[in-house]
Amino acid sequence: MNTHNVAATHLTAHLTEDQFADYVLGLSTEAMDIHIQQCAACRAEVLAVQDSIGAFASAGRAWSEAQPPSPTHNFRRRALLIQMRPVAGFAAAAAIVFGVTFSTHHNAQVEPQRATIPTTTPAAHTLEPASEPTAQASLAAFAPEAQPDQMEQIVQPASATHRPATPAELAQDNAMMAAIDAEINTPFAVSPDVGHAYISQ
Amino acid sequence: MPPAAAQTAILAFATEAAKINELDDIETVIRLYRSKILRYVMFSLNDADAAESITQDTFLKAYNARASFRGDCALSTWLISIAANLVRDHTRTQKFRFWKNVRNTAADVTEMAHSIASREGSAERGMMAKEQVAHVRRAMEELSARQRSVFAMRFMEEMDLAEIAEATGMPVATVKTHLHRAVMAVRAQLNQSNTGGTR
Repeated sequence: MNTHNVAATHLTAHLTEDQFADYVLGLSTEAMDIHIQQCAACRAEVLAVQDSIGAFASAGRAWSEAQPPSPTHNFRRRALLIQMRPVAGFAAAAAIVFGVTFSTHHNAQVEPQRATIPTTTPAAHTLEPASEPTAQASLAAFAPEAQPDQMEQIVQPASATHRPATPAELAQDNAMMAAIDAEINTPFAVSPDVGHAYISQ
Repeated sequence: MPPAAAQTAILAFATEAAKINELDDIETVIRLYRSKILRYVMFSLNDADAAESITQDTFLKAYNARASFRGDCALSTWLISIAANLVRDHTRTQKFRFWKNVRNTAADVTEMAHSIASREGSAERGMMAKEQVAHVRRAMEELSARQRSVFAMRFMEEMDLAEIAEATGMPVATVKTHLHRAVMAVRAQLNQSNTGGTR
């Protein structure tokens, strides 16, 4: 026989903690109701708890009603973007892989071309030394504090910057892309069992 | 198929279709249920910014999963269940501290209680309501995130124990245990103030 059954027959003392909580939760038995009617102390305490919770609930409802509505004009677009996120992530990853592969392949082709430049286009070759000091002079006008070696780096011919990425650079790029992926995914990251009761995954 | 059974099946199909259509009109769903979801999340986390963000995520998730809503329960219960899972994830990932980071909103709610009661009754009634809300707020500080969540569902949203169990995936007995703990915390807080031990 549990405490409620004992209480159902006769309640001589005050409500137990469980009975008190049950009463506040609206799970009272007939014996509890009779006891509350007869016991001023229990009645006062129950009313105090019920009133406090009621005031809290009313204030909470009023607070939520007073909040400005959130804009819904772009809701469907946002929903679509969320659905497309896995596809976008895959596309970004594919683009990176393609880019790295293409760059490596392109570098491999550029080196032989550069080797043939002096024999096939001497004019272009002779122009390069003349153009570099001109470019450095122009740069110096805009960045007088730059050191000569820095200028040299900046005005290097474009072909000179085409070289295979070092492992450290690749690692840095990968870390950057991972950070971008994390940034894309983080704000909406929820466990796969969200809405588990009703949403079939 | 007997006519009665066919009629029942058609009715069930129509009800199902109506519920899916209801979710298609997401702007109306948001207008009808936003306050409910917002306050539930708010009183589970007490973080107005997180509450706004999670409320929006709840509707986005519901909209994207609308085809899987079978209408086994009320739409509001389904939305609350999604919000409950998002709240749970948030409390896991953010290591948030209840009432520690955003006290302004708590103050807003307390003031709200004061203004409502003053408007409906006297200034004295307003002060009393303000105190009552403060007691409950302090009691909630002592509850776990899950207990607060269940408390908000029961008293703020007036869901019964079975609905809460459905929304949270907890057994009814566990829901009841959490609610008992919450009620006892409020009772203790009131007793403490009556004996002059207010914090």
